[in-house]
Amino acid sequence: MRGFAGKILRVDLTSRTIAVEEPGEGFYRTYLGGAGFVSYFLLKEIPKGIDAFDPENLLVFALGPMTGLAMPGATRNCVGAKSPLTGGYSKSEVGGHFPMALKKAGYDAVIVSGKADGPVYLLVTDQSVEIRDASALWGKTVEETQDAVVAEVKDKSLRVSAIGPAGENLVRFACVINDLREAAGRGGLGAVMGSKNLKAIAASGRWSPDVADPDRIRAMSTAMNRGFGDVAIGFAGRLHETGTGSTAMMLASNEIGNLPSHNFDVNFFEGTAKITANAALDTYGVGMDGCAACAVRCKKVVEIGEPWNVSRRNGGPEYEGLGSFGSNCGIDDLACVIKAGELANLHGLDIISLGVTVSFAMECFERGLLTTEDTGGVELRFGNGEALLKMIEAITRREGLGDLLAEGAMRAAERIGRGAGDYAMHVKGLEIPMHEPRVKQGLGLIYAVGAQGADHCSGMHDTGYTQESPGFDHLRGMGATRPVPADDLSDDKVANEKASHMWNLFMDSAVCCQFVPWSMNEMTEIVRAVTGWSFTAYEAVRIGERVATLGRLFNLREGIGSSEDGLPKRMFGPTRAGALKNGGIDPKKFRRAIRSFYGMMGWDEETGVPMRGKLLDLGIAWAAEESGVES
Amino acid sequence: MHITVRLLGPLRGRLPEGEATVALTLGAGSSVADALRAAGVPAGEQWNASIAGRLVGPKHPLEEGDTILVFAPIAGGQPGRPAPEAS
Repeated sequence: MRGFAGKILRVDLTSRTIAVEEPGEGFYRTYLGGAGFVSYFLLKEIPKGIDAFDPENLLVFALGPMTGLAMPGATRNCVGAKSPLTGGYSKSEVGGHFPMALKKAGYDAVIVSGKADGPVYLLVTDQSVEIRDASALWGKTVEETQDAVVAEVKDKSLRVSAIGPAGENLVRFACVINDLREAAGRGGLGAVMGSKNLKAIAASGRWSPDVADPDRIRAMSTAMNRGFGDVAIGFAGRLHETGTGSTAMMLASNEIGNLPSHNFDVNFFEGTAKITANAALDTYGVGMDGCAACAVRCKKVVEIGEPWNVSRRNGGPEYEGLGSFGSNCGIDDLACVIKAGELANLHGLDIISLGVTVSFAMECFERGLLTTEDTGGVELRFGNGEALLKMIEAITRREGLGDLLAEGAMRAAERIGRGAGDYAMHVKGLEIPMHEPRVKQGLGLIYAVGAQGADHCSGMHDTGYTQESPGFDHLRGMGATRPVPADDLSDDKVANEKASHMWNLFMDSAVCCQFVPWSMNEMTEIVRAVTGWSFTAYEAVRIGERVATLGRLFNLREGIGSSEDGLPKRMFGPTRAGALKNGGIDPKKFRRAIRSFYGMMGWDEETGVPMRGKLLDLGIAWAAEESGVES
Repeated sequence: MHITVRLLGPLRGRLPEGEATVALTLGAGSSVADALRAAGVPAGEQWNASIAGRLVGPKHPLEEGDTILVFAPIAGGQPGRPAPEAS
């Protein structure tokens, strides 16, 4: 088999057994990798109804056919497990260098089960697999952990994926960090890793996959690396000139109400110009960096001296952090916002969930639902950067109010009561990213119906597809109908979102970065050139459909049904200022769009349960029996 | 009627160095597309436009004194081309 190692590594930490499974080419062609593998193993092997911290939960690290090749966008892995935040299906994709190292160790996935009797880390190389003692690493930051593992193994080519203290302390939105700065952020997967006493996976090797048409792969990689600036309008220029999440985009977002501020309540932030990507680069930037083998250098590198002491090693600010810690917490102190991002990476916390959980607490404080008695004397008001940093430390260690906030906004609101749920901005327990669903209403639909909750990387960002364009034409190739306005929720919008959702889930199965503008035709050509299969775009879309449908069945089995497919009440009303002060999603149109989405997916329009015929069509009839869900 | 077009980000490269706005005089019944054409934004270029904070399409009729804010699409994880702006 080409493109793959053909081997999946199984590690059971309870029994300390290591095994290798070779599922065969049919499995690979059906599920491809990444999110496809995660969806399969989660439904197939996780017992119904277990707690996310039960040792029987699985933690899956999955690669794709491109991983390990020197291609732009190819060095990524998917991580998946039952989520401690949502209680449902969860996956997250992440870049860096670790994914390439894991492939070069000779595996397509690592599936971790059980729980070690003490802290351990996994050392996976092309020579051996070891479960090593990590007692000395417990309590250490991600940076300290990586440095210690590399020093112990004495292998400079070693790449590390690790959790910080937040994962150890079962903070429900703890994440897994690759190479110090890349986060498999969403869903609390780092807490699952912590629950298994697994501090890190370290990988290295020199194995490389056989590729069907290496000349084609080389030519396509060269063309993309040299010419990606020409394929989309100013793409390279935008990333290099302004950094990802550019100044212009944040300012424009603020103008149209798309930049959440004050816990999605105000959505116009006076201090936006102070916290943009350009401001970060102009003030503290020392360069741009990227993932292995990728010419799209989209990572801002920053350094700040006293009193903040932000190291250039631990990842610079990206749009989500600038928004979630900045405007969303009402903070315009750029150094403080950047420091918050560094702390999140060091401690292993999801930047989005962290910022939105703190903004929830700030709103509760301002409304009198939390007091200084609850906060340990901290004036937890919007705009108080010092309070944000204190909360990050408290959450990481589950101290004081931090113990409550470590549960995430949804659970914290349930405990606080007295209407606090109205201020918890989440879907199914997963906090909402910095893309306002009242502006991008189709993306809001995907937040609502997606298996993992509010995920901004799973759907079409409406504002980019309001006109005929090469981008829209790309979507049309997968079933989109016609461009419609951003706040439209017609069946055309639903069809466009469905097309985009399937494409993104395919990309998450190929585990390719969405920042590299490969077209649909190029992506399918890449899979053909790597594997030698006669792979088509039709197959790509069906892989996306499998991922979405298996995720849905997992959730249905866990009791997460159509009643959970929604948005916070706040999204159906106006903001207090800015462009959305007369805005809000029409709830009837939104419910209708959900029903249309179900129908387009081959799911029952009322219940959202996948129809038997759809499962047969996708070749996943096994999933009905596995999930126990009748359709 | 008098219309102001304000360009943000890379679209600004369409204007002379250092300039961010274009003042236009257009005939009655002109649309956003007419204004952008007059401002030198080429046909086929992808953009979003807002007037008074509200996203508007190319056919949106203009009124005296409107300021149009024009910017490249705002996106996150994004399927294929165009490439994303933010994540």
